[in-house]
Amino acid sequence: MMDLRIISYLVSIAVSLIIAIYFILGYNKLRSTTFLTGFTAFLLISAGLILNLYNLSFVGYFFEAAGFLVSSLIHARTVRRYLAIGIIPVAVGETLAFFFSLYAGVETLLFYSKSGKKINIITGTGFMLISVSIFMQLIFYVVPANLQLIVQLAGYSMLISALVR
Amino acid sequence: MRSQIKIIVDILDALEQSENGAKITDLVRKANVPYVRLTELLDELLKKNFVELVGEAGNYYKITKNGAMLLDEYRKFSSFAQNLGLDVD
Repeated sequence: MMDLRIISYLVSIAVSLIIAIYFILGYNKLRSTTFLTGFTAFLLISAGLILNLYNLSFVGYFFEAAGFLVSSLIHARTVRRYLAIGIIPVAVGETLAFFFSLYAGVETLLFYSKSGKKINIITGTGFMLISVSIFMQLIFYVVPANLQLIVQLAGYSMLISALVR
Repeated sequence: MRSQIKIIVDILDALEQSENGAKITDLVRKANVPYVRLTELLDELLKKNFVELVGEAGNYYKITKNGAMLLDEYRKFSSFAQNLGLDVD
């Protein structure tokens, strides 16, 4: 029986290749840059998935990231043109901050099993809340600013407990 | 600002709605394109056989089969792009 990893990758590769092909067909018919950029994005994503399937993740994820970057660029260019210049570098920074704060949260919570200190749960949750607040900033147009600030405040307040105790 | 493909689609769309063809002055209004730009685009569309001139004086523009096919292709592909959250540029 084929394992789930292979099935999942094969389906993902097939879907992104079909989308890439559809984009290039659209470009051939209409000569629209949206389609050419879409083709580039999904070709890079497909290449990344193929490399990941063959356990070449150190290169594969770069291709996937490049593909999604191109994809986000066309979205920003076509959907929110006025934000295109500012949003991408900010979004890249926020994404990295989100990932690392989440990672710090997971590591801290795992560390609890080793240290047995309940404070790790508080600080770990604090890191998690910070990552949630960063994610809220990434989707700022659907999340009320006050809610994001409250979550951020709660996250950092929990971190300070590491010093207080 | 509309891209060239969007302007062409608006012209073809306006022509598709005019069963007996449309005069250039009607198209200026319907496709919302300045007269000079419109004449340039219509010349190009004539050369590519997307539109044809009809009427006794040959001053009515009508969409051809090729033009209708281009319009269909545009609708099909722009719907695909919109499903992925993109506008056709």
